Amino acid sequence: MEIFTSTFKGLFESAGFIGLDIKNIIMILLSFVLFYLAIKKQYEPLLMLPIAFGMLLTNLPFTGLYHPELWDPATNPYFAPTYNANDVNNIFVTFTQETSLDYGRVLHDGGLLDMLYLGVKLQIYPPLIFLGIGAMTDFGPLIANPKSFLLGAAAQGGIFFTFLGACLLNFTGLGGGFTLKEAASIAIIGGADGPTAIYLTSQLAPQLLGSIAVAAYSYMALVPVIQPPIMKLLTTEKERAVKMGQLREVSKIEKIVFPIAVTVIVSLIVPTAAPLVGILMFGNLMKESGVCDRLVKTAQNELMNIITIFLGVTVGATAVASNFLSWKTIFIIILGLIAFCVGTACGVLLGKLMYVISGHKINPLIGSAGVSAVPMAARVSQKVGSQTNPSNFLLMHAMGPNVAGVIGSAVAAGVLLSVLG
Amino acid sequence: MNALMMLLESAGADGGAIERLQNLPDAASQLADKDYWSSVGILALTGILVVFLILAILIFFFWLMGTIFKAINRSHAENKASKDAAKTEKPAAPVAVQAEAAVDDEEEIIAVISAAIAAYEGDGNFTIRNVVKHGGRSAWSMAGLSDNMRQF
Repeated sequence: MEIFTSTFKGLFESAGFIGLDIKNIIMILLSFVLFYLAIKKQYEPLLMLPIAFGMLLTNLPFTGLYHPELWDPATNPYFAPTYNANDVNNIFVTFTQETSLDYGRVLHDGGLLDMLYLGVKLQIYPPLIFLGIGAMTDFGPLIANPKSFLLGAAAQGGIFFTFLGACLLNFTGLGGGFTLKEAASIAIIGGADGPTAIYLTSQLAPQLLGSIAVAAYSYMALVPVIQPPIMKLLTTEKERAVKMGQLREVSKIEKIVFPIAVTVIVSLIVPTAAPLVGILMFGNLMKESGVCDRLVKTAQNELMNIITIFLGVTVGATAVASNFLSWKTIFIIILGLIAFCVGTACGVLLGKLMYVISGHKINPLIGSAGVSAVPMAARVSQKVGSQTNPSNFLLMHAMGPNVAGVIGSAVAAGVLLSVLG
Repeated sequence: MNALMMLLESAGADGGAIERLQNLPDAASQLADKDYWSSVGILALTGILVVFLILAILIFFFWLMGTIFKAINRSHAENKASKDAAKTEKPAAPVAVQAEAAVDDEEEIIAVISAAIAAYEGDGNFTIRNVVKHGGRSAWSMAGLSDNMRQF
């Protein structure tokens, strides 16, 4: 009987509900909201569902799957050994504390999600997702009309505008309290590119990773709702009705030269963008070469799916109550929306300029596709264009700025990382 | 120091100030720094300019590549056309066949249009006086395209 009661007592004391507090309960309820958005509303469900489940798991007490304290240099510092050069036996060793993490402790004490989170922290998953994206993307429309690159660049205006906005928020005293690194991580939401946002945030402000990933993927899912009003507001019916000429056919050699040239040019100017742009182009080269069919299939399917699961569930796991339930999250959601809207507006406005310069041959609606969010943003351009003129087919024209936006946001992330990283 | 930091300095920002700002522990102390706004402004401006610069270089490169490939393709096509012209020195018969084929095609199209109208009208009490081809996409190709694009 005594064994029974002590076992029961031990079980009771280690039960999760003992450790539940109001913050955990709110986070668990929030994860249920994300389940609803992923399953019922189908908002980017492939990532939203794993993110929601990661959020649920990490906020259930005593599961030991994820330990936020292991990922903070303040609570898990790394002490670098410094050896005396004259001592061949390395007896005289001193240790200096560095602003880095003790990964040995992560491996020793970490749970399952800590292990998987290493892939985010060590910048492994986002480039691998880019490998799959590159293996799936046809850059033909961009090669056929290189001017599309300009629209892809203009739409990145949302990133830098929001960077200023986040800094300005500190000044107004309304709240926020974002450091430069945090402001840059929030601003990258304007790139409308999930892996890029995760890549940059994991380097600059890992404590905001959960909030930024949820905001970025939510807005990407809401592209068909957010963009059309801005596109209609900034364009006239006459501009929206412009039919663009057919794109020229792109040869296989051009498609093979493209990824190699982009990798070399971008990496030589912004080396910090190479992990994203380089791997994106590697995936594309495998596809266009036509000699790596098996590898391409793996990159497009199995590898991409595995990484998506790991990335989603671990990013969700970082959304612990102490990080997520703060005013910062509210400001991140507002600033993320501003970033998206300004990015769309910048793309459309440059599209309008190109409409004038080209003698009314370019439909400004394709400019909004420059915010990446492939292929959703291009679909929105197609949809809004066909609403004005049902016989107008802008999809392939919008794919140019759309894929240029992927390269543009990776370059923007590289620029921010280069200066603030 | 990386190239972008040097670019920032040449744009007027104090590179040391950005590094100093990053070492400050929180937003409030960063905001209190005298170089905060100049650093933030120049960083944002330089950032968007660098993105434009890189993508402009890519535009130039791929425009050049496209021009070269278009020229190569055009000369290939011209060579092929002149070779084909040299090979076929018996124009009379093929032209007649082609013309016949074209007439057959047209008759076939008119027959299909007549059948479609008959099916639509329900009786054969109508006369087709003229069939004129419109420029651009045909109604059928437009319907097919619209159907394919509906999913987007």
